[in-house]
Amino acid sequence: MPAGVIFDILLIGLIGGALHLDRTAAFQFMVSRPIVASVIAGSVLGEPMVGLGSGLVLELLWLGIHPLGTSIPPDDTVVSVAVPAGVILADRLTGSILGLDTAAVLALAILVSLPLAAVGKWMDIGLRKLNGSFLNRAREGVKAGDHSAIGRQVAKSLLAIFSAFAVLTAIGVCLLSAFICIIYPMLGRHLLSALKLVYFTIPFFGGLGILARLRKDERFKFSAAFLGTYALLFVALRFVS
Amino acid sequence: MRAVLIKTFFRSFFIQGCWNFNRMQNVGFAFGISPVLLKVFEEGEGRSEALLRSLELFNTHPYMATAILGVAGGMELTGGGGAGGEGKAISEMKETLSGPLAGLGDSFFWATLKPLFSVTAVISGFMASFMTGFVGGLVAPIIFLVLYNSFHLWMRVKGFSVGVRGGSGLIDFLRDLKLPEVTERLTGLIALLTGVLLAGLSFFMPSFLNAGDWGLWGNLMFFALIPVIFLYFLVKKGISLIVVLYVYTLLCMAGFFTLGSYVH
Repeated sequence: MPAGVIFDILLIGLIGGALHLDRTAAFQFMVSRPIVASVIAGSVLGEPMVGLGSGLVLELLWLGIHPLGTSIPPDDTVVSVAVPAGVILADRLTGSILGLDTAAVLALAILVSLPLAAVGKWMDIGLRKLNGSFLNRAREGVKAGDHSAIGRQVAKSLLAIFSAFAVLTAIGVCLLSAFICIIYPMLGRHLLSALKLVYFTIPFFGGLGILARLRKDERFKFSAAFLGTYALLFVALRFVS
Repeated sequence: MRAVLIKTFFRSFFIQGCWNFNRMQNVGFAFGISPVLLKVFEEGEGRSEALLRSLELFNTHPYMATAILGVAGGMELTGGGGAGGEGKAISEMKETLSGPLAGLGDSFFWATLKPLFSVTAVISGFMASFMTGFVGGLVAPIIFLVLYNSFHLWMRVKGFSVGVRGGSGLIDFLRDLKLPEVTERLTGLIALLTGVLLAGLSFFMPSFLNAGDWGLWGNLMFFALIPVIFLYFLVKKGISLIVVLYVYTLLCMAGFFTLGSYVH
């Protein structure tokens, strides 16, 4: 494996870890959302458009999933970083991945990397359990008169989260790019068409997620807006052509 | 005093820095309030006790936590939560405010503003892509971050400053915002925008990413979405969206594999 690719994997791992802090532990400026995280990952590797192609559809796929109360949703950040990075690095390794069928390879990368979202969720739960031991150390420190113990435990927790997700992202990108390098060239024309169709339908699945949570009157608004816009565009495009 | 409060405000960005299942945001809260406590309490005169008190269970929406930190900081600095009352007033305030503010914050920021600005940014991104070439779509993340964080940061700054002033200021401020009513109206707007977005995508998505030859999708457009509509009922029955996406992928692959030679 070329040294440049190894450096890129490490760099993406660090970015994945840093973006993951924004998810829960620090700031929450939403740079961890797919629409931002994917573009950052793609831009760092010199292909912002691949990042955008991944970010727009992943953002819509995760549209109706929220961390309400104490619930922990599947981890969209690790997927959002891994997808563009895996595709770009696979292209660097083979030189023949990105091209006319960018949509197909993005769909393949998204489908393969979705289990990472579940792994990220389990890791999040594990890290929150680990934070329980940091809490105990903070209490013991304060009882012993060490008043900087609280800040130190917060820093340790942030470091643990950063490190864990940096490693997960780097491993995810390695596996994903290797999978794409091996499997993608083997796919026939029909399977590529199927993957393209899946890519362009993913936003509609995000729409389903939203629709399932809406009240009856809001579902009516959604349907009216969809059908109205569809009819308008149908007529306008026929008129133009 | 101002410097201590500014420090507390910036530390509120780490309120979930050590979120744990035992006492949730308590370490983050203690980290935020500790500059105030270190100023109010001298070494050996209740400082450790005050810090230990601040480690009691605490959980609310992270943006709203800044306001609660402001109220607690103001009370400590003005003696309202002082050692005489053994911090009972602050504990009661935290307990009273954290639940309702968690509900308000979750429904307003997570379930409303985030999807609203996501959809707005995605619509802007796609429109810019089609008008100026794909590169124009890069405005989408910028639009999302600017729109979302203008509300987010405003809520943090305003909530904290109103909270520090004390009294019923924070309650009045939140009541005047009418967040439940605004949330309801904005949810209707999300429904409209999502409908418009998906209808637009069913026409323009095939030309996205310079995808070239479109075969089946180019001809079928709307009809290709029919399986998605069926799958909606599976989502409604509580089956995971991701599982449904995999089922759809298998259907697509099987369909193209068996009918492929007729399509091209």
